[in-house]
Amino acid sequence: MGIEILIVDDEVEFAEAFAERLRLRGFTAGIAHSGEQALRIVDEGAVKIMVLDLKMPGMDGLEVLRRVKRSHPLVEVIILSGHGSEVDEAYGRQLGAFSYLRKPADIGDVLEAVKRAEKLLASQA
Amino acid sequence: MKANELAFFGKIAAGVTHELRNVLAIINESNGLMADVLVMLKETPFPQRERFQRSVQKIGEQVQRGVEITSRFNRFAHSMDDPCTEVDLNSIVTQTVSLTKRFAGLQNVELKSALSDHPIMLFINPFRVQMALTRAIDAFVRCMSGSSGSILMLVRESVDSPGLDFYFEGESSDKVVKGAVEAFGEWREFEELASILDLRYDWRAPDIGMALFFPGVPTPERTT
Repeated sequence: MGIEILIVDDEVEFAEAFAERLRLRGFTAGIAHSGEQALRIVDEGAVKIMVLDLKMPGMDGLEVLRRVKRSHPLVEVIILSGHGSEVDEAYGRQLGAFSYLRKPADIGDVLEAVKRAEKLLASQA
Repeated sequence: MKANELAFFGKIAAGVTHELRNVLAIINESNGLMADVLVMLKETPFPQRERFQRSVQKIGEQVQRGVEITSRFNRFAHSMDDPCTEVDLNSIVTQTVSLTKRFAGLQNVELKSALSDHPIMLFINPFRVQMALTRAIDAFVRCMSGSSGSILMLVRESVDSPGLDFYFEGESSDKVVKGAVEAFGEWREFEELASILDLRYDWRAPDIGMALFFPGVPTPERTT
């Protein structure tokens, strides 16, 4: 089974613990530690939802969002960042982000966003 | 400090709080993972289960505390971004109380605020206003030290004279304000900042320790 939720975050410990928590809840979760790696994984075709940090070395989250929504418009992107400003949030939504959460987020809030994204994806299928 | 120096300091401070949020996020997810495992093992005999559960809960609570502290400091750091900006007086008062209540608490003085239901927008330097309010509070707290009193800051939403009223509970207003004015350097700093910001104040208003008026707003006649 491919990756359905891709966590994109350069903080390795965060991404691993977060992915593990999603897997415990039955999701198929993968990890990318850079924007470039994330785009390669998305191109493989299995990713449905991306949980994306904004500030990363190299390609930043907003650039990843822009490219993903251009090449794979059906992938829903949830921004999860400790860095974002209100301007970043507005710009992220303008670029097509599905939801915007601040780190550290309650797992319940993340799951709620994931479920809403799944529902939207199902309605588009 | 010059405006560009303040902005630089604010940028560095904001960056540090962002990094701290990443640290808190890692602690939060690692702790959440432990909590998940404890739930999975709920039917399995597990020595010291309650101790683990209590620790997980305490870590979660402290993460939330850390988030609140870093959020407050982050907003404070961003108040240095622009020399002057449009800002809600309610936000300035909330922010000032949250950043200074610990210092007041160490002197047994509680800081309280009563906000307006509506935004009161001012075009002002938010960092300097917070500094002025903090210096005034410091001066008042020194005079109230050990008295277990409180300072209430009430946002005044009158169209003609929006501002901030300071009430001193458990202490004579006269004693607190006069003591602050006469004895301590913090008051001198407040006065200097008030002059730069064009803040006016009236400390002889009846039943109010000090009434503060913001720029462009007429100060009522003093009541003596």
